Amino acid sequence: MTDDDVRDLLGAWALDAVDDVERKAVERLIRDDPEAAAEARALRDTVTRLAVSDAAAPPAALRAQVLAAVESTRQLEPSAGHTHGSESPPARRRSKTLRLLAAAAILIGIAVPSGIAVLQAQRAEQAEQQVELLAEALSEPGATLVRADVSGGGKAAMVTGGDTVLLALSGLPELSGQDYQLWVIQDDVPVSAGVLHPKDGLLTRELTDVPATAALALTIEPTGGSTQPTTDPLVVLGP
Amino acid sequence: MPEFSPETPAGGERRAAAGRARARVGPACGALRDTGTVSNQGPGLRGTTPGATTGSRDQLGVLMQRAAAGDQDAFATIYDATAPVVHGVARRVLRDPDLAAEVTQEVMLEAWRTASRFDGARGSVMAWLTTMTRRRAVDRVRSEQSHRDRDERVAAGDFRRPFDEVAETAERRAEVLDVHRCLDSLTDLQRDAVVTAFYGGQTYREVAQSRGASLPTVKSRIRDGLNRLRRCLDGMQSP
Repeated sequence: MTDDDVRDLLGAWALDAVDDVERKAVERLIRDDPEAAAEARALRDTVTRLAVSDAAAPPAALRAQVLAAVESTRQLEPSAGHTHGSESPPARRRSKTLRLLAAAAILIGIAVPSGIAVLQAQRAEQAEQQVELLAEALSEPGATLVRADVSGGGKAAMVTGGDTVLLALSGLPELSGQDYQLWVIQDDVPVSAGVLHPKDGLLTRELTDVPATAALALTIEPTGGSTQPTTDPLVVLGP
Repeated sequence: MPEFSPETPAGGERRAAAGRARARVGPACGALRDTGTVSNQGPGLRGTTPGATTGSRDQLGVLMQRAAAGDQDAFATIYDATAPVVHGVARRVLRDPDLAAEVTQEVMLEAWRTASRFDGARGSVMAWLTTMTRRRAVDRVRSEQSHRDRDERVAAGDFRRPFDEVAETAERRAEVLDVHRCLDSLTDLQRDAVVTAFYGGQTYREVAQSRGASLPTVKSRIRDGLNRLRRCLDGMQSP
């Protein structure tokens, strides 16, 4: 995507009507381009005003329930890399060599299983964006890559770095009447990280606040997902 | 013009609006002023520059930092100021009061749990919560029912909603009226794209598909539509 393509996405980004790859691309533009950042900010504020105009009081009893639950809900510690400042972290500087290396590794491993020439244009574009995103994540200092086959078909790769985990899936078979669901497993306790909707078998998802010792697992669940896994994982990616 | 129910504001004794400042600050701060709890919050809450809500130093942002440090009272104030907006968005997307209440509870707890991840440099508390709410509500829609038959119901002309449970102040009525008037100033196609993406929980790709339009066309409709909405709201001088 060129910068202008990404710029055109600012409105959809402000509505959060973009996918993870596009969101990442827009946020990169915002980081690098003050004009885009100003527009992004203004558009998101506009969307917020739209939301505010819809305000509707929740049931009165909810307040006490939430505040009671708050008492027993542990909060996330501020993460080490997290700042409240406005400076971009220096880790953003990307090494071209590393990017290319990473892209090559990923290309061999997952993103383009059957030759890019036969892919439809859009799918090729998605694969390319996926590679770009993974390459960027891999170029963060201390980033690690874990890869595995998905039983039933497809490949999975996980890049961890800082408190962000990037998951890329490719070649996943289409499901009907069921959904792929992602789990973060820590100390043998799975917590849902949401239902996944791969496009043409491809999906990239960024997860934040994943503990360093946690693993990711993918299962097939009834449409809409389950509160606990009901099938054996197709793949588990762990540190 | 939409019809608005003529009920008098509940609570009767609400303080007068702080002039045009409310247009920028929105009901969040109106609610903050109106809750009657503000006197417990110490001097930091008053006298903050109007308009700062969208900045990194807004009142809610400061409260969120306190909440991140475990301050439950600060969080209670955040709840009072933001839960109606969270609930309103959830209800628009889900169209089911019970589910909307559940999502409201989930989002508020998530906000408490992840308060340390809120970054005022990246947007306002209200924007953060709005995005979180829409995402959760959309996930819930997907798990509750098939996505496709909702399309019809989120019709473009459907953005108007009569005033209801939210205790309406004169300033809030004016703000809502502004938003409705400004939505009316969009072209039908722009409004359709914005409303379908936001409340229909669709990505711009899905909007393009359902409307039989190209991706660049829909991207532009959304971006241009939101920019027009923003300019309109900035220029609004309603009494």
